[in-house]
Amino acid sequence: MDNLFIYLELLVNGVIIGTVYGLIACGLSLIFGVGKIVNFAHGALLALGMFIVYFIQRTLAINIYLVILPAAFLMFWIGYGLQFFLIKPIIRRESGMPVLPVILLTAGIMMALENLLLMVFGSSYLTVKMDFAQGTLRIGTISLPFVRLIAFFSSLVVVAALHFFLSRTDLGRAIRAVSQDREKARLLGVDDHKILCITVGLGMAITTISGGTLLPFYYVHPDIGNMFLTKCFVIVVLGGMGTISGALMGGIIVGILEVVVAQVMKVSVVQALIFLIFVLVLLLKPSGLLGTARE
Amino acid sequence: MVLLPLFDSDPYHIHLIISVGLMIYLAMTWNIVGGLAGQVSFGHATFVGMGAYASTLLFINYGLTPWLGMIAGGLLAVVVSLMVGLPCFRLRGAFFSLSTLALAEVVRIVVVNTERIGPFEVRGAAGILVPLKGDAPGLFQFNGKVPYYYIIWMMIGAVYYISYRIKTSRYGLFLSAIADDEEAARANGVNVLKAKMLALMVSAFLAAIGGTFYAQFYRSVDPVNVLAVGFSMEIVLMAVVGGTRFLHGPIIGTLILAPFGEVVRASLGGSFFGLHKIIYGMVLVAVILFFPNGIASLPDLIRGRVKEKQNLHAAGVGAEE
Amino acid sequence: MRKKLVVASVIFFLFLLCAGYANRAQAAEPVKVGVILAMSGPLATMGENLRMAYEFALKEINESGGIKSLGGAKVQFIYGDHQADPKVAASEVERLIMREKVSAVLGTFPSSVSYTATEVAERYKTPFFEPVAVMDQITERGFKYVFRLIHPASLWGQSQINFIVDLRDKRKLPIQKIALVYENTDQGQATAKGWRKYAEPAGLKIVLDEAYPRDQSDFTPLMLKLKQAKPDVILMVTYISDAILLQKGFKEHRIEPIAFIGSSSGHSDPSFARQVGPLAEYLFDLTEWSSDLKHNSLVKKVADSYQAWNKDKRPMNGGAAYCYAGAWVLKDAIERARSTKPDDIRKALSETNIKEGPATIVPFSPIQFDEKGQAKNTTVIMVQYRDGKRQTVWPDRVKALDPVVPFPKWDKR
Repeated sequence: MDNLFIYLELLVNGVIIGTVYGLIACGLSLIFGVGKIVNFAHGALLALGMFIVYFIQRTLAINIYLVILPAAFLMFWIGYGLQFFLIKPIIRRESGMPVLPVILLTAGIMMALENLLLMVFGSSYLTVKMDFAQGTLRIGTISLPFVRLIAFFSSLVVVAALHFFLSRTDLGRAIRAVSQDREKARLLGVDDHKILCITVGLGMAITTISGGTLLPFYYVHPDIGNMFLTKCFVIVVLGGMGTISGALMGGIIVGILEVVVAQVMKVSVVQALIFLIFVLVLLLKPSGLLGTARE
Repeated sequence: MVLLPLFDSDPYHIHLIISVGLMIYLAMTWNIVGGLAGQVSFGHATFVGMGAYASTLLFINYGLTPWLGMIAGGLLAVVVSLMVGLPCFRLRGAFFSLSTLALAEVVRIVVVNTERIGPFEVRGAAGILVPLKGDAPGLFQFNGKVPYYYIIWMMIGAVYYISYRIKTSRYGLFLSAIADDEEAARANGVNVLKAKMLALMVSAFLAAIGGTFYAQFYRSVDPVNVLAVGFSMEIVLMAVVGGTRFLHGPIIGTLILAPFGEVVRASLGGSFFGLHKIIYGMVLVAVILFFPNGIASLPDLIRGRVKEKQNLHAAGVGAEE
Repeated sequence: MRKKLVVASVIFFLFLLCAGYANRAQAAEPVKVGVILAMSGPLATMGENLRMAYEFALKEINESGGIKSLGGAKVQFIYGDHQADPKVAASEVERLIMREKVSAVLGTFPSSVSYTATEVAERYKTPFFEPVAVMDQITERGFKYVFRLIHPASLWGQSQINFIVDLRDKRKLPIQKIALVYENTDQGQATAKGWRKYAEPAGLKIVLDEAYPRDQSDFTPLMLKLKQAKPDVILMVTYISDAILLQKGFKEHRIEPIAFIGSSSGHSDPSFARQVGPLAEYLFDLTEWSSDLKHNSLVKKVADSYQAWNKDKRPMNGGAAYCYAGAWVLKDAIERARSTKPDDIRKALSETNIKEGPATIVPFSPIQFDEKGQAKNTTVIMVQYRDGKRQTVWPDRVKALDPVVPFPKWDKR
């Protein structure tokens, strides 16, 4: 009976953390789905977003949850600028999506950004000191810290908002049009380049929100970009490149996998196992376990 | 260049040049598959690591001289490349690159978590140390730096020659066809998988030999440094910045970046840590934006520009007559 | 006649001037010592800690007259940044020795870096004084130029087991099961090996042996395993970041063994206590030093003036103390060598026999080195976080107060 509760707790935790992962991956998925851009700098940008949240919170000494939205707004513009100044020139140059240069470009951005963060913030592991919501919800033997619950629910809210935005608003529809067929959308009068910029900005904002909700029970450090980058790619591939529900599902799957595998086997090999699964899925079902995907 | 040690006996300089030389070598081995065949792999460090670990472990356990051990390392790398290539080459573009990244990480994690494989003590994260034998040419170890200097230059020459022969052969033609447009190449009857695989195997074998050199020069091999994605990225960076379409691209790329990086790190490293890597990243971005074919393409660009001007002039444009 | 007098005085005056200048120039020839540290990269925080300690010692050494046997020559530190990469370390040590022509090198951690760096120094016959790296092999290679001040790694785990046994036997606590939680790195795996070796003969049963990867994002699985295993003592080796997350996790999941014991890794760093605040209370940490050691009054004096001096007002921790002591040991050797030649300094180091002075803030005395270069009679201590401060509780002869065990329940604090 004891065991049942343990597995239940595992499951719940897996879903909670998985949802947050999923939101981070949503940012990536959105950008890829709409612009076919594989952004290697995604992790570094997440780190940047988290650092911004951390820094503002520490300087103004206010509740961290108040800082997240302004930071996300800032990151929106950073993402917009990234697409506008750096990626767009490459896209213009060649017809179609030049995959290789984009990979290398974003890899270069990742390298520069990560080390910039390292230089500015040092390599200390920084955690946010919090007085707000420090309690834990206890159901039986299951412990659920409040800060994790907040991250969970806010992720759900953002995903729902995103879904609403994409399906019900004009801008959202334009984005979907571009993601389905860029040429056609352009012929219909959509400024596809601007849409791409907005999408990248949006992706960055979403990622920053989830990163911000992670901070209270996690730490920020220039290296976390790397870790989340690979995790995000795994998630997006598992769930289906380019779809939001796919990213969420993929995130939850990875979250659950992480906790279950860690319980059953040694914690240290969890990452290796996940990567293996990732490669297997890529080989057997490149469209992901769920959604549709185009390469 | 070859006679440098006769003029400059500062071991620090020679050490620097050898380090740069090794990066040149590794960047060139990467380019066999990255440039000639157009497949961007982010897992090259794995092959380097295979070579380093294999030759060193064989030396520790069986006293096998690394001169022979490196062949074993190379073969091991070839086997690993088959295990990586066969599944991953079915994926295109970014997905291929991603999967190489993922697999490289798997290997790293496995090694970090492995204490021993049979009689070999891998020692996980601690890494292994090459037993010091002083001056032992037969065992690929030298007290001084100069022998390493000559060896690395010979290795660079060898890999350049091999790359050249590949590029100018019929097989090389297939590879560049694949690099340009894989579908078209396949439609034209090129056995794409076999071609890519062959390039990868050669690249892996040579990289592993570089790994043995690494082990014998630095005398310590650990997964944190040798098997890291960051190391792979640096190798890719050197080749791409130089220009993957040129045989001498990786040479130029490394010659520009590596010494500069070393100097920046040595002089400003304390106060502005990571500055050289920031610059690396920015250089990569700039190169992709402005010199998509790498810095080695600069002469061509200039020539192109000059020709343009000449044509305009000949056509009487801008002439005031 | 007067003219001659004037000329003579001017010449005499000029002579004095030159003599004085020459004298100053001679005395001003500094003794160059290389210092290799992680000044950037993943271990920069720890490296910065050591660097400040070295700087503090340097200031004291030079302000107290420098190397008196060399005419008051000042000591000058020349730094090399190893970035936690043995390759880079090798290159830097070479630069320090060959380019900067240092007479000796002061060391650093991590051990993997020190291992390679010391080898380079040995090759170039330059003394390498290692105050803080613990890997056994550093002094097990038959080297003549390498000296190490701190307690070697293989004995640390043994000390922790001894402490646990003391708690069980002397304080009559029901301790049978222990859990090992450690990072998947060099230091973690090596420490765990030590625990495994000494636990069983002491009658302790290992119920969890869990290495976790360095970039772990979520410790919940580990927490759940601990809840299941219900160990009496949890032994840990972790970096700062993980130590913080683990401590928070222990509270969230109400994990309450009889004792939490750290291994002088992340738990020793001042930022750990700063970040987790009251959560650190009653945690034990094995460490090489503490500012409240009671064997010597210099300990408190040095610790206080260090804290007052450094820009972050950081208290002195073990690594800093040993680096400080190490710098003074080296200074003592240079004094006795009366020379800046590496070989003379090496000989003086091997003959070290320090019973007093700033270097004796370490918890053992006298400071002597065996033929392998390892300091003799070294020891480590156990501290406990009490009222936010790390206070020495073991061994009995150096303790400042008694330990509080078992670990008070999370809810009741």
